[in-house]
Amino acid sequence: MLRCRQVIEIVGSDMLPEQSILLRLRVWLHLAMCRYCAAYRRGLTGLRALAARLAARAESINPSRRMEILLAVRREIGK
Amino acid sequence: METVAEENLDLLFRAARAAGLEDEEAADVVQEALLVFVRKADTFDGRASVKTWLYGILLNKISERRRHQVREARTEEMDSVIESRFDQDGSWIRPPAPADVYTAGAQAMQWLGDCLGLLPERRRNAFVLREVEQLEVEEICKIMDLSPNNLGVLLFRTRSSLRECLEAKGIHGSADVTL
Repeated sequence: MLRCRQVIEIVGSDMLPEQSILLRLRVWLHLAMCRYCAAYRRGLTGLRALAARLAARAESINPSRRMEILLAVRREIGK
Repeated sequence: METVAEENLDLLFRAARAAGLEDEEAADVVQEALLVFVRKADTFDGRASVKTWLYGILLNKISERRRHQVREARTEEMDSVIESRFDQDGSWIRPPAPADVYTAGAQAMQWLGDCLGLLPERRRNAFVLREVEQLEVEEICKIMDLSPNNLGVLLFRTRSSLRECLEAKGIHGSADVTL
């Protein structure tokens, strides 16, 4: 029988797709029956959504600084 | 090479910011990384993508910057917090809070930034590359020189640590939380 600790490690490690069909089915059944592990998985989804918002919100580099960097790269290429 | 630099500059900057650097410092490490890329371009063997290679250089530059900072690798302490939620049989004794406790609200973003800042560098890098930059496992393994299994364990512990931190902030509204 799969334990909760095992299930959340499989789910939280992105390794589920690599597992056998049997193990994936067992994890799926466990998540269907265990509200705590299902809550953990929903938490991962929430965390992923937060990270996506972090990425979307990231400010672009200051345009003048961007130009400075590209000029530095150009100078280095020219050496 | 100039085109490569121009095409990747913004995403490198985003990754540096997500890794916890302020604007000016992030711009500095991006510049350093791109200059290294130009100097070592003839050593690029094509086994990884250019983007993967650039991320690797960037993370090294960030790591060099942080060398002088004392950031204890409190990984054992973090992992013990995670394990304390389970009994010896692996069943929950302290179940997770509902996700909306820590993901809802405008403050959640600030909390995530705060919690990322508390992580050891390796764990933070793994999370940023996977969740913020959305790189594939294979790419991250090349950048961080990890096997897929090791990366999986690292991601699990990182996500669990972040959940602990966010949950504590969300439930207690505390600005000062240790992982």
